Amino acid sequence: MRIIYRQLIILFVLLGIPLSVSALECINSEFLFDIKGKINQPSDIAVAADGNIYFVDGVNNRIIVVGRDGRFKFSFGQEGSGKGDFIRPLGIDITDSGTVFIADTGNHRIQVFDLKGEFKYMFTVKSGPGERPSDPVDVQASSIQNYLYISDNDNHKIKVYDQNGTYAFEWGAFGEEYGSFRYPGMMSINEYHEIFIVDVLNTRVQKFDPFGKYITDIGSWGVLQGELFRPKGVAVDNQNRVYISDSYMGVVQVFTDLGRYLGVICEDNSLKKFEAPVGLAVSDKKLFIVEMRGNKLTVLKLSI
Amino acid sequence: MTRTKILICFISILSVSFVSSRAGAVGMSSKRDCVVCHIMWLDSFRTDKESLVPFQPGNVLMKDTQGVVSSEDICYSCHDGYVMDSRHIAWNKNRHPTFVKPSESITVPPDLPLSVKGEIYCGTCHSAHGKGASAHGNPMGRTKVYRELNVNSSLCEKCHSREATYKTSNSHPVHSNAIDLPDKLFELGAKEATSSNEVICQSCHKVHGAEAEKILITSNKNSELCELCHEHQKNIINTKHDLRVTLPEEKNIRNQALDEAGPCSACHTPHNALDKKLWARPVMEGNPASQLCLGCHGDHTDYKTKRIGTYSHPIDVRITLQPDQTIHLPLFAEDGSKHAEGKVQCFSCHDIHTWDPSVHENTGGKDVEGDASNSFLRITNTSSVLCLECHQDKKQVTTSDHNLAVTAPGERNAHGFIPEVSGPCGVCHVPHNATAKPLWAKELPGYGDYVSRLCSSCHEKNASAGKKLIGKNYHPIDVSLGKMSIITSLPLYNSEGIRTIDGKVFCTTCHDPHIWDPNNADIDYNHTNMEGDTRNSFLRMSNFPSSDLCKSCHKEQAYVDGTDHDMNVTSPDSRNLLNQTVQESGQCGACHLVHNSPNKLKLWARPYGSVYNKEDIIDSLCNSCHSRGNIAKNKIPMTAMHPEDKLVNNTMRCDRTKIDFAPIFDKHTGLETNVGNISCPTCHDAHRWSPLTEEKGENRNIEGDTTNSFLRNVSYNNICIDCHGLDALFRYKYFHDPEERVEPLSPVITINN
Repeated sequence: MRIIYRQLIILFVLLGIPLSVSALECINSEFLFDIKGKINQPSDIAVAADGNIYFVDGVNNRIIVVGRDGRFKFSFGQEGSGKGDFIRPLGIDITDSGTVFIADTGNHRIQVFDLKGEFKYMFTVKSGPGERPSDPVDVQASSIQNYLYISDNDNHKIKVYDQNGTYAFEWGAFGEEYGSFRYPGMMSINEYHEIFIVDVLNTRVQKFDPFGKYITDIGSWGVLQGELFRPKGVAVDNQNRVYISDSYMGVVQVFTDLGRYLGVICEDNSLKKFEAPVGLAVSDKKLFIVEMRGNKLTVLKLSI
Repeated sequence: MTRTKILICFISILSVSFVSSRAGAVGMSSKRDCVVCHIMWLDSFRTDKESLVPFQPGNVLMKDTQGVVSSEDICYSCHDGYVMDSRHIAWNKNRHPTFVKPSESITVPPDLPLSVKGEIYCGTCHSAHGKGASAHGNPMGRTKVYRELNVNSSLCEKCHSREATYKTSNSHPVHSNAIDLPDKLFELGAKEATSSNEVICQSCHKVHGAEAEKILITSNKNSELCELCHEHQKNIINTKHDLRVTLPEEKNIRNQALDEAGPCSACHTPHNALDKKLWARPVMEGNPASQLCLGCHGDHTDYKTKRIGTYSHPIDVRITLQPDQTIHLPLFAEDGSKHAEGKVQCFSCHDIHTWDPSVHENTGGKDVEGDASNSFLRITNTSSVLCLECHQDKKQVTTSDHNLAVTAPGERNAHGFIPEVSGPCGVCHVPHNATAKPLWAKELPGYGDYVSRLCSSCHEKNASAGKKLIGKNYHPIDVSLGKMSIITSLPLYNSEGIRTIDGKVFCTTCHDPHIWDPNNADIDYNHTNMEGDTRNSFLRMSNFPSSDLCKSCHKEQAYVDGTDHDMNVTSPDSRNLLNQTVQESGQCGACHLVHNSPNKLKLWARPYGSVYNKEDIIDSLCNSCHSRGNIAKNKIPMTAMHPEDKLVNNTMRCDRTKIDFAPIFDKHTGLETNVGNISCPTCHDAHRWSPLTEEKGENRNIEGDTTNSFLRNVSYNNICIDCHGLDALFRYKYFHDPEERVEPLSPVITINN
């Protein structure tokens, strides 16, 4: 009988009946404030050098600008296809010099503004032969060669223009291989000018050098800690930590730039849940999270 | 128990335990593409590690399936713009309700699944595996994620089949192209059908991203959506029929308040209405078209609304058109639909959506009293064109003295309107709340017969036609013709003013107050008070040159035509008491005045002749002409008077229908009596030259003899012989003509006694 009992215990273990639960790797944060109002499914965020916060209120076809304290300053844009008009824009980036780039998704173009929201210029993101109409969902400026990286979501490519709107090069294709994408989304850049690109349905963030050469990827498929199910937003802090939001799981996880899982954003050691978190920004130890279904922007103070 | 059995038992327990703890994982696929949606199939849940989202195999929305396939969060995680942007469609504003049980009026077919709770959920309509899905793995493909393609709202109609069969459910028509759908409708988000202008569910509704409640493409709180297509009907806004103005607390059958459902909702509901026209108010029995109006304006309702009164224009009646007549007002079939050969209903005259047909911006107001220029009439009626559209035979009234806008512009009808406001017809008739039966618009004087009272409303001293009175002596009215054995084609009326074949004579027997000249419809009338004559004067037929109107009843008297007593023949220049020649007065008018006769007796139109004390007054009528200095001065009997004291008791010869009729007249009144003296008309019928022939005269002045000479009776069986025997004629001649006494003419029978 003892032998039988031993065999049964071994069988239990082999079959993986849960006998233990992994601990939550928390990165604690402190809630500072959130910004609500007549916002309709916002997507992306950028923090200007002066601390003002710009976020894309896309279904309302406008950009909202608030101060570092969260108080409304102004907004610009309205529905349309003229200069300064938008059709459901999704992405935003602001250079250190104060140039605001907007991925005007529905108009298949990039529009450029100054910090006051004054229109400067715009250019169309072109589609190649056999491609679908361009679907620019995010834009990321780089000081390397004045590049402007554009996620062409529907064509599964990153298209690179210079910041004046001159096409430079592109990479990517539909697929699961490194360097390929299944719906590339938001982007971020680190101090080394490496670009991090959310690869939505491949449930990963890929890191490339400034010229599109694959370096590594972060995250894997799943719903456990360190895994991604619907990665959407990405931000890199000055410690080269990579923050990735997952809109389905409602969490923000933190990785090293080489992909090692550091933890998940918590509050008082409890998992911090967000309503479809998408765009992220990190600045001055603050984490800015755009909650698309929550119709708000949440600002947290990071403990790291 | 053997070891083997014990082992089998443990393995069985283990298996059950495993299955129960992983209930949701049975049949799971780890294929990555599937898990994009079927998250509960993830291998991550098979570990002992804590997941960042809970394992919820119980969150099953569809019967007999697993996982959160159709959880909204899963859908949104791709349709947020980073795979497909449906934010502005599916998660913006209003959308089709989910997680609610279908109402009783909805029948969900089996191929459109409900949740385990019997609720509608995303997967009821959507499935990534439905018809129209792109080939698996095609990166450039686009999947129509419907269970069935929604061509022309066909998917909507699978559940909303009752609304789709709009004719039986009294719902808004679909698949109809009766109206050109405006561009604005599509700018607001309406879906265009494959056939242009075809109304489909999605013409008004947007399943996702609808601007307004009830998933309407735009707000309809002020009926803005209705007005997009029904542009004309938007004129109702701010009128009395905008019940927000007049009955703000009113609700329709769906208990919808006006400020929520819009002004159209007061009367109409787009789906499952109670009756045709999408009727949203209680339905009355009977006449289907006008009941819509009478529900509020009928006498039985409790609403403080305009009522139509006891005397109102008939509805639900057919109109008889003249051969060349066309009308432009709508008529309605039994079911209330427009029909060229239908009946008159309220809507025939009223466009209940437009207060002022000429100035649509004029919405009137709650306390504004309507008149002929507005009042929701289809056509401005200040010139009565609306009335005349059907009543074309009354058109002449507008160019007659009976157009009071010309002849009595200050006259007000019972509603207080002057002719300029009420229109020519409205002076005497109002379609609703009339004072009497012919839709009478005047206060009726309180005496006299009914029909004459209508006329007396104006033709009365101190009334608007006070100068056009009939005087003390006028043609009898309110009399039956039957006892006089008169048959006429002229209209006769009963005491209520209704035309009947055995009715009585009233003013309107001879007069048609709407037609000035019966023979000349295109009269050149300069709109001044015109003095009429026997050819016009609203007579039903001309009374000149022949007195046809008089003769319509007085057929026996019609034989006067062409005789010596026809003044056209014997004295065309003579004038009656009104100084009218026969041309002006007509044949009959030379001797009889229908109105304003100074003489009551026979309405005599000429000066009475001299009457001596011993003569009957009836003889004075004859003496008017047959006396010295007058027009028949050559036809004066030397001795015309029967001895005064020889009264005749006439009981045998007083039947008008018999050949021996010989009337006796009261000496003083001139009325027929049984006891009196013989006078001229005892033997003479002034209207008939000869009793032997029923013929008119020869239009020339001729000398008579004993067979004619207007004698009533040329036989020996006459009144004379009653006293005088068979030599009466001799005696008569003897007394009338002294010369006859010298040479008595044969045959004379001498009575020797």
